[in-house]
Amino acid sequence: MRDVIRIVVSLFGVYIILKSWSEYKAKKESWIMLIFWTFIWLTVIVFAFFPSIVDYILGKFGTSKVGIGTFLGIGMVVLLFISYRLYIKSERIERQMTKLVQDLALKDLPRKKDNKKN
Amino acid sequence: MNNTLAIIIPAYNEGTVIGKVIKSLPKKIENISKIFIIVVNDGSVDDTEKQAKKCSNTIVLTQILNLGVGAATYTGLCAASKLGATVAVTIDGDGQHDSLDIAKVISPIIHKKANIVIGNRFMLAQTIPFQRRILNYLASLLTYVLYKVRINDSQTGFRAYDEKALRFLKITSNGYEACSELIGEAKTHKLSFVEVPIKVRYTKYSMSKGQHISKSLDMAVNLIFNSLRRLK
Repeated sequence: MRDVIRIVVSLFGVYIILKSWSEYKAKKESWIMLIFWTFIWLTVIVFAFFPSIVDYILGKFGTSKVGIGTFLGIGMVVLLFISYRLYIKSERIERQMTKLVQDLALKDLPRKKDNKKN
Repeated sequence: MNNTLAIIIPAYNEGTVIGKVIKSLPKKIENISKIFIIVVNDGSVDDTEKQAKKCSNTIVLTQILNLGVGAATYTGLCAASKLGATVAVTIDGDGQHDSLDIAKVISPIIHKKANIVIGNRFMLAQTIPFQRRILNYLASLLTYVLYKVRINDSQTGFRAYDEKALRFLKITSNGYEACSELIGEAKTHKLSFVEVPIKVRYTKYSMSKGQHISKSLDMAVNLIFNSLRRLK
């Protein structure tokens, strides 16, 4: 089971790194974001193969033997926070885009005054 | 007699039928001195805009992106307000509504009996596909849960609004959930509404448009989020 998880995580990680690379090549993403996502997903792959590194790193910060469960829990909270931020941003962008499109559509409409003249 | 009516038709990829729908609209209605026909082309990729512009006395507003029927309806209502319309009526662009019902739908507004009129498809004995009945029942139930307003046909696109409603109503939902949001808005602004029976004809074409079960979950989630956002 552990090997299956490692293979799935690796394939998923490699896919995202390749996708990020192709986005960079298509000039849709900056090189900083390419490095960021590559680093994040390489780290995830390394953790999948050597989970003891998590304990080692946490130990360095003075937390002794918290285990992979705690680490995943913290990860989940971080992901939820990121989802919340993305939700807020996408909502704002959608609202702004809607307003822009509606204002453009209404731009050439004859106003009440002009209308009464006809 | 000083009433000015705006007939709003939100349209997305209705190039094959929009001309026919516009031509079927009444030229004169009792107690109405002027009629504006407003087609809101909601980012169509077919020739909806071209076909609508071919029709005389039609104002065509084009949204450069496809936002959804809620956003297109709101654009139409804003246009009606800007044009100084005292009554606005919205009908679907797929030809499922009978334009002769417009006089009946705006009548309670003309006679100052309501601020909003909702065309109810279920008050008359007529053939309505089972899927549409179920979707409407669930949407009406959700509308009641969220806004505490009992309404039989919460998803109809055939509605009329008076000047006060045009001034106060604000739709923030872009999709079909706007139908329910408008009911919530009406309650917030203490606008009165009545339901009147309308005829409807479902064709193979109109069934391919409109609300589908596949989109209903998305619509329900959007409606719940929207009602949460309205809480102050």
